[in-house]
Amino acid sequence: MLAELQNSIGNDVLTGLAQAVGAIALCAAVVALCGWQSVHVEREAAVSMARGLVQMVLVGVVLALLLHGSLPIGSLILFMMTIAAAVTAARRLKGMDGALLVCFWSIAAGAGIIIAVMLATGSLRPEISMLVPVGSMIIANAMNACAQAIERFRAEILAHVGHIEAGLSLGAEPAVTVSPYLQSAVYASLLPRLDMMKSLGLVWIPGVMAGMVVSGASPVYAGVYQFIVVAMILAASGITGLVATVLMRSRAFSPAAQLTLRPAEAPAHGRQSAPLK
Amino acid sequence: MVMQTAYLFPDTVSANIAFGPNQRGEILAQARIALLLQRVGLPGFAGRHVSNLSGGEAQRVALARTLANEPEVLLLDEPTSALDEASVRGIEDLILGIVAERQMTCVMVTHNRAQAVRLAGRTMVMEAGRLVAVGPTREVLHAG
Repeated sequence: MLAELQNSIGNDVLTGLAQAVGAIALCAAVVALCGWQSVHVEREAAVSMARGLVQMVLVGVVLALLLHGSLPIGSLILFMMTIAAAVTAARRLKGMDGALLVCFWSIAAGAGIIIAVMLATGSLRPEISMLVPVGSMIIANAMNACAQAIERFRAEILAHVGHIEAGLSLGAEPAVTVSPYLQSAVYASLLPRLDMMKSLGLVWIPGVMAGMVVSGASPVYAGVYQFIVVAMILAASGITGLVATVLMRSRAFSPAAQLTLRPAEAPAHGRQSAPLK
Repeated sequence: MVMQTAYLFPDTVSANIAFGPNQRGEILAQARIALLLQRVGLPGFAGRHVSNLSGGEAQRVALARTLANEPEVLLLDEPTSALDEASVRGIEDLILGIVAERQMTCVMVTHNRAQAVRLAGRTMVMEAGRLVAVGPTREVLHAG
């Protein structure tokens, strides 16, 4: 293992670090430009860049150490990534009970099913060097879809409390009262992935294809494989968005079908009383 | 139940009125919808989109939508608080007429003493979430 790590540290790493310094300098210039227009992201940008660099170096080290690891090790790495993704997505649902579990199960369902299908069909080899990078792309997109779906769904519910309660008072099931908002939330979470698919090859050539071409694969096969990866990302995002909104819907109502997800200033019970006029 | 705001679904008046029965798998006949609209003073409104209704008209549609479920008890949560004075009297007359002809129980929340006198036979006064008086409206409100 250490030999693998030693082999991977060479002139390439030093060149990469020098290039990273250049990238940081460019970002710092943009941050300064934003500050000139009173858009202050200095601290957030600095923390994000520091975290990003450290995380990617650590991932590189881990991959170098585990390059020839087995499927269980790769699965464990993806599992840890799923937990990290769930924690990140759950931050958007502050104050909601069970938010972390909603995010974890939806990302695990979306990414897990798709990665399993890819492994079963042979479009993803169970080697860490392939499983982890491709799996992480799918998990990252599932995380974004999860965050977008639950944030949109929550915003829609909070904006339509009156309509939802009107539906409930007329005898509608909770699922019926929020179905238009669930649909728009899932659609909104899929839009970036649909745009990604539409612009594939026209506006951008993703990293997987670029990497395969650089490492000597047939450009046509690399293109087809990239399409497969993006299609799987779209499928994982769809499953994640659906599972996230369905799980969140079940938590938005009490067992007595009362809407419990409400704006903070309008509690479900105990409306402020005004004096008689 | 009719709330402070009508909260009509973004569709036609007809679709709103048919919503409740649809939830039970029933299809409300157009003739029945027309009768309900006539009763709330909106004949010929069935095909209109709810975005083209005034506040008073929307509240009348909300009342018709509730009546389509044939409730035994009518719950009204300040149904006139968002309306102008002319619309308030129209809705009040409608509520009185419907409750009388259907012989139904109606529980209505209001912060308006005069409205309680006009509409209610019995009144319960609540303060800070606690019931502080119950009885015939004139007695309860004059005692306060």
